[in-house]
Amino acid sequence: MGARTQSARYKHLLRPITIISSVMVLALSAPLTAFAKPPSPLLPATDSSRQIANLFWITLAIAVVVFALVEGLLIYAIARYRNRGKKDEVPQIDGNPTLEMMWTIVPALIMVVLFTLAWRVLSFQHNAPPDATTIEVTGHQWYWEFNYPDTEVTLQNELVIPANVPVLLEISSTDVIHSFWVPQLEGKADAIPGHTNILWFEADEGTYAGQCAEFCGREHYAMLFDVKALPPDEYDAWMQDQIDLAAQFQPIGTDMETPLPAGDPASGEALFTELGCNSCHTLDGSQLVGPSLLGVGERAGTRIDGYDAQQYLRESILLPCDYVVEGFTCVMPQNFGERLEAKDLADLIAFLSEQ
Amino acid sequence: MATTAPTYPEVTSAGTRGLAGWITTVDHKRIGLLYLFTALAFFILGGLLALLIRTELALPGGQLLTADQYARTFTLHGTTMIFLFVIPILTGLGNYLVPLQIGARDMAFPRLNALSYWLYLCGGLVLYSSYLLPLGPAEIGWTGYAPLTNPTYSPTPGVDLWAISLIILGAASTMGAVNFITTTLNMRAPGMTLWRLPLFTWSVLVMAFMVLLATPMLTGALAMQLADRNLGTQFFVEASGGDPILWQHLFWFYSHPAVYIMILPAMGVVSEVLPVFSRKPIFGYRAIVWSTVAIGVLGFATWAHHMFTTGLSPMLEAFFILSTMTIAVPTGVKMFNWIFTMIGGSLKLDSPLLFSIGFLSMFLIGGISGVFQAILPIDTQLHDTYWVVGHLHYVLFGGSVFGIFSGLYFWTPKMFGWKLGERLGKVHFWLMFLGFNLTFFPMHILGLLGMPRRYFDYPADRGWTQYNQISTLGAFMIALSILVFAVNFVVSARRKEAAGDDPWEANSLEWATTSPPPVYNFLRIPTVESLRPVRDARLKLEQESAGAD
Repeated sequence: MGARTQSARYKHLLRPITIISSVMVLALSAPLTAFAKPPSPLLPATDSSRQIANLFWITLAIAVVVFALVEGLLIYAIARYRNRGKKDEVPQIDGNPTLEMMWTIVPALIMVVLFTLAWRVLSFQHNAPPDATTIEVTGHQWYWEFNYPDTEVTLQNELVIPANVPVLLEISSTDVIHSFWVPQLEGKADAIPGHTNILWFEADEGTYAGQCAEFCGREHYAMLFDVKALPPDEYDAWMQDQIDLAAQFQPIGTDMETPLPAGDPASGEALFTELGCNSCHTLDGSQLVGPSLLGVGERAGTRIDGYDAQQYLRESILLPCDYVVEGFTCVMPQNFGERLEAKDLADLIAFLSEQ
Repeated sequence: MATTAPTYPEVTSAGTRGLAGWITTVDHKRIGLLYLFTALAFFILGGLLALLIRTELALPGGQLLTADQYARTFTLHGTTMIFLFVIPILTGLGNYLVPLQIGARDMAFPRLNALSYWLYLCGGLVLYSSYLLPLGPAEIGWTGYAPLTNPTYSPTPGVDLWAISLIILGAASTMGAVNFITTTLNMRAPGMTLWRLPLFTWSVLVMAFMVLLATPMLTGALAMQLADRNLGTQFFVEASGGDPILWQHLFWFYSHPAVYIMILPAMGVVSEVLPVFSRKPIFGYRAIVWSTVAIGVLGFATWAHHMFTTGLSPMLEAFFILSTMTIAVPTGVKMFNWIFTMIGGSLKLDSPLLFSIGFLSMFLIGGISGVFQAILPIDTQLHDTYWVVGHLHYVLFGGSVFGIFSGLYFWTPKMFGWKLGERLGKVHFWLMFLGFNLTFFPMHILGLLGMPRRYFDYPADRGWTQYNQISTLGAFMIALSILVFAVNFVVSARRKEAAGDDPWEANSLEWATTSPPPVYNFLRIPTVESLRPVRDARLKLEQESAGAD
């Protein structure tokens, strides 16, 4: 008798409990829709990322229903069957084959549905159009390099692409594994030495924030970059400018004899930060990956027999692994000869000579 | 007329007293306690590292740590919690309980058992000794990916110590697995068929098989890493024909089963606690056994879902999406079995049950968030973000740790003879439950706002700051709750309120002997006639008393 009265008293809790749990979960999801800010993948700017975002919302809807049902059942069980001081002898029910079969089959069916939806988006992601504009992406510790094939144009930490046309990225790395991630444009792809991973998309016009998404060492969090998607005619004009600039660019190379112009320490200081030298070398005596450059102006002339300060600094930048200070390993980029013009090098040397 | 309580002969021998007794013990109960206390100490260490991380992340900009120190902190936090806390504490509970639950007097190989513990302690000390190195501990994450672990990028010998410590810990685990399997298959009391094996022991058995089969892969991978670092081999060096992806396959082939190794015994605890506190049998015993075995097998087929962004072939992608989704099914089945154990029962909302209920609700969320990651296109956005950090803590903390605490509150009276206080137990539960959700739920949102993991610092203009702050607040609440637990332990130990043999009116054989048990476990090895032998004996005694009156 007592059991039936209890049953009548608490059965009505089931529906409100389920509703309350659903409201709870939806309320927790609200910040996503109301407060999503760039670079959230929920603010997609390509067909690809829109498909992923839609897939997410469908999955979220299923997840919310499942959660509300199961959690609601749990809360109901606690509320309804709590011992309130009465006798604790209850029917010793230990199973129900029909129920058990149902709750095995239904989740399996949900998984089949989700797999089908996933496969559709995956197929889209895998089928890049043949005429896509291709750009090579290389991850380095700790910056991104973007090369435009068939031109000499190279950019660092800023990727410029044509909007509204297919763009294909060939992604790799020269040192450790990084991960190229511009959430609003596409899912991420790892940058792995010895591998080339492909991403492709058609972007809406705009500027999008990118990040490294695979732990790659100390400055992993600082490998931020931007992607600018320009309308095609603006892109063409920009590309032409870049080609002209590149044609005029005369890298100093690793030749130690080419005379250098007079250097400007202030410009050198700007380069020191722009090129990322400060991520390994401090100017205040504290030690990071590389030796501190405090006092290097005076030390430089004493390091190698026969080298004056200028020569030492020049070789240290262009051929960093030829002489490595005791106690350090050579991890310095060895391509500054291709990235610096004579004036850049002169500026840097002038700046370092003052330290 | 009630039978008089039997007298348990005292067994003493030279060398069992004092510190020497603990160091030389081969008694599975003492070894279990050694595991328990050592693992809790590492839990505190790992927790302090977590507080360092959360304090640093509360505001943009570097405040407390340098980027290098931060990387060491999250590396050691992960490695400690997985290898020095969760796996050993479950091993410790298993050590204490499995022989008792099956009606045996000890494990099959008591000295091997002791060796496992001391190797575990040794491995932990080796790992933390890396703080003494001039270049400090490894800064590689608990996953230690190549080529980052190459000496060019990680010159510190902290990486070698990390690898060596894991090899030692792997040896300890493997020895433990051999012991658990041999003991469970060979030393059960008369009448205890496998279909009458308690579910906690079942979960330890399946876990042990997984340890046996998975650990060699990790050991091999670590040996290759050490060889690349010290002997000039090129296994993971692409310039010489090696491949960094090889490391990932080998590592995850172990580390994915490892997560099931960490959850199955905690699920076993829940399967023991729920029937006792619902006053009815577990719903669907065989389904739970089959689901456990299914998870143990399928767990070996899902590893590359950690590698969805590395550029796998479409065939591999399809396979691993399917296998990952498939393993969700037996996991879901158990969820329903547990809830239906409670439905129709008479629930005593004491601490052991509260923590098991916490397990159910938190593991549900963790399981659901995992399904999002199984869907590869979605995973390409969620991978390596705070969503994953949220997911993994919901299953490992919300799941395993809540399960562990449920077990600690449940079995403390058996191990020490007194119960942990109920009032402080409830304070511990609610503080931890609230703190846990505040810490880890916002992380799902952070992932969806684009925040990658292992970021020492983050820009102030992305709307991430407030979620990080909520998370940090939650972390300190968790810390406070652990303090409450510690106080509860000390206070309850002092109070010494005798709990008796069977304070919870439970089901399995560990409750058929004294609290704590004598060194020989049982006066006489009982004969078992059902899944709930202690309940059978209790009912028989009640019938006899009723009959006599």
